[in-house]
Amino acid sequence: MLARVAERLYWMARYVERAESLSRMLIVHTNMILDLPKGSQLSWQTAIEITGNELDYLERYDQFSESGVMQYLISDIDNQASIASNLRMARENIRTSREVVPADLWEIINQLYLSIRQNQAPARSDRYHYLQDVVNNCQRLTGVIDGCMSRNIGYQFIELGRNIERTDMTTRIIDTGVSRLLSDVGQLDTPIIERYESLLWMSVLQSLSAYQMYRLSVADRVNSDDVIQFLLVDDNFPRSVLFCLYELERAISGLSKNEDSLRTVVAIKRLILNQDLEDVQSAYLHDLVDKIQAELAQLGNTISETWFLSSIEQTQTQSEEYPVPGSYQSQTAGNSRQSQIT
Amino acid sequence: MQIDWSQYPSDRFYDELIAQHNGQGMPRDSAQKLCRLLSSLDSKQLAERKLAAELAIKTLGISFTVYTEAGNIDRDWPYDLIPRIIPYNDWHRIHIGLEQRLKALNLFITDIYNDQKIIKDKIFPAEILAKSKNFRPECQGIKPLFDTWAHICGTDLIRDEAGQFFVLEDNLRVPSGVSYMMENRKITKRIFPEMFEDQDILPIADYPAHLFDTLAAISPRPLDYPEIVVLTPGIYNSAYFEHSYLAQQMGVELVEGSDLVVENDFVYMRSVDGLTRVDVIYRRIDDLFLDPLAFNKDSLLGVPGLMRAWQKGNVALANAPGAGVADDKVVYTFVPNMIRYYLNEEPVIENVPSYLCMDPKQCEHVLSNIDKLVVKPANESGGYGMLIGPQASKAEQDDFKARIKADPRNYMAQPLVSLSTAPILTHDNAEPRHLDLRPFTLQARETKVTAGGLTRVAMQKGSFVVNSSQGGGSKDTWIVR
Repeated sequence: MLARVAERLYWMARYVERAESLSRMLIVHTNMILDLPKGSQLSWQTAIEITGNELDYLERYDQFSESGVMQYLISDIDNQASIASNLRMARENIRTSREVVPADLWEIINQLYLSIRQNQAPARSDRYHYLQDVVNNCQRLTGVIDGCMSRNIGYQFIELGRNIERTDMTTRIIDTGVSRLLSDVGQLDTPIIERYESLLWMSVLQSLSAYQMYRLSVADRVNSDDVIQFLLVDDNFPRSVLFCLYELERAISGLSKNEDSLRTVVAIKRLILNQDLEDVQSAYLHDLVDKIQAELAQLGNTISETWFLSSIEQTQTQSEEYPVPGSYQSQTAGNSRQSQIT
Repeated sequence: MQIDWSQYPSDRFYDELIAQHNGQGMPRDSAQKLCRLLSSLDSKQLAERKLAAELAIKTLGISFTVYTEAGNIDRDWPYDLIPRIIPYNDWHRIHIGLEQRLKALNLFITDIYNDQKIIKDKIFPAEILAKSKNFRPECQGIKPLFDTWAHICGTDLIRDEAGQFFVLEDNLRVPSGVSYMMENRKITKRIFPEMFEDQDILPIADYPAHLFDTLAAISPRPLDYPEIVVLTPGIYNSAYFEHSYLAQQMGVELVEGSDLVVENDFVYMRSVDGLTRVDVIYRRIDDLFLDPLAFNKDSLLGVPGLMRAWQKGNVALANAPGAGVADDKVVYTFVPNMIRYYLNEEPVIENVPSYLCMDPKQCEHVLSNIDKLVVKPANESGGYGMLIGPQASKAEQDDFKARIKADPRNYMAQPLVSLSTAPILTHDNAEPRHLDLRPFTLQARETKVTAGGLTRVAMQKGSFVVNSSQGGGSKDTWIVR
């Protein structure tokens, strides 16, 4: 497997996963806002906060209005974290690695990309349909990879990208989502909190497609401790942080030169397994998520340094007479998370 | 409204589908089923099929890049849904002629870089070689496996008013278009599935397998599955779609120059496990960009040291560097004699009659008849830099006269061949447009020719320019038995 191609597969998986989770998050968020009482503090700003892009947003939009936030997160191609941008990058990475992935991937991503390009800013009434379409098609992509791709080295890189992205999204939603929700709810009258707490936690679960599985595994009514525990350390749910770490460990084990990356993964595992997750405070949780995010960023760097061409080139060009062009990499493959975790 | 073939105008040129009988259009035997189907559809149904084809092209992402001053534009592949049909009996002769021609061309290239017998025997003038832009001194003394330099050849064929085939051009460097030939078939199968049920249309989908076999055969290491790569200039190249397509279809890596590295005259690719030795490079980069140490030192597309690795026989390049010496448009005029000289056979497919400007008498003829001739420079492709005399202004003609006088070796001229036509689907009718045909021939241990090829069609009424870079379209091509 060519280092350049491995890098493209890794980023392709990240972009697809990101587009899907962002779409789902927006569906859930919209639903939740409709359910909340007038005057509640939960606002469209939360959706931007989860992606970590408040500053970039405020540079180009006046206020956290529904239309602004939706445009920014769905169709704004100047926002590298928007659904449209993620799909564009996913398409570009598939386009340039077509020789190693199942042929259907190209047709699916291409159709999806063309349809979102035609329907640039979906009207409010079409929004659900639009977002659900993105979710469905991202799931088709994941399904084709799962069902039709050999478990070769390329597949391991797709697994790496997908699970890093899932860990990232789950921790973001726990952090920004949860702490934000806690503080928002704190400003409401007590009876309202009681009435809406379950609803809010349900939304958190739904953002990660976790609600049904949570209900199957936790018998109690939806409450914060159980949700956090479920999302961080459940052994069986494929988007829990611990589960993703297991998947990362397995994918990395199938690659050569894997020691450094394995070390980082087990460090994150220890980080969450050693925590006492009973009755956590939101400040404490925030701290924990920060640590996980920092380790994840480290893991991303290590993966890139170990296996990807852009890093190999950087180290080799110093000794070579002729520099090799690698500018393309930065455009499509990597480094595009404008807002690394702050 | 439905298509009425009897009203289809096909009297001035040879039409591939419709013959003329007593002033009325009549589908040829091989095209009867197709024409019947087409005329059974009303405008709405035709429009639906056309739309379906456009949609298929979009979702399959079949595109090519046009270079413009404003930047590169990715365009959907232009496709006309009425296939071009050639009866198997006609095709069979062409097939033999293409094999014959590529064999002779490869013998010529081997000879030119080694003994130069053809020059010593005064069949081919030494001065042409001396001025050839595509002659590579670095290739002298080298004998690639099977004496094959051009492993992949795209030959441009045209038909005159009588329907006779002629070779217009041999493309021996990095001919492109084969992926579009295959994608055209894929689309046509989606649009006209009924046509494939009760007719024997020769399949073309085996091309990637033959290409793989051809490349594997020239591996320096005789392995079952040598490490083969397709070398592309990158995603901004007009033919990137094809490079990616062929790598995908053959199941080999698609690499850019920066993925490869030469150490101790062996070529390696940078894989996730470190360096992996490469045996065969199907390169889609021009000679001069292959290796900055040997050629254009500013090239960022190539691989430093690649030429030495090739010269030492440690890696195979397809097509071999220097193969272009035989596809210059002046050398072209000597190909029929090459066939006689090396194979002792008569050419099966003729050249278009040509005038060489390096010959003073022929040059005189060209200069005084420039308004009737097509003038071509030796080393351009893609329809660039040529003059179509009958369609050019007086100023353009004078400009070319001056160019020819300044450098006669660089020009040749041909009468304007009235290219054959075939119907394309316009808004709601069928109209004739001019076209050519580019079959692809593979050669290493064996020689293989595609069944048909890429039909390129001028979408503009009356135009003879079929190049996709200049607004040409394409058609699926059926060899029907």
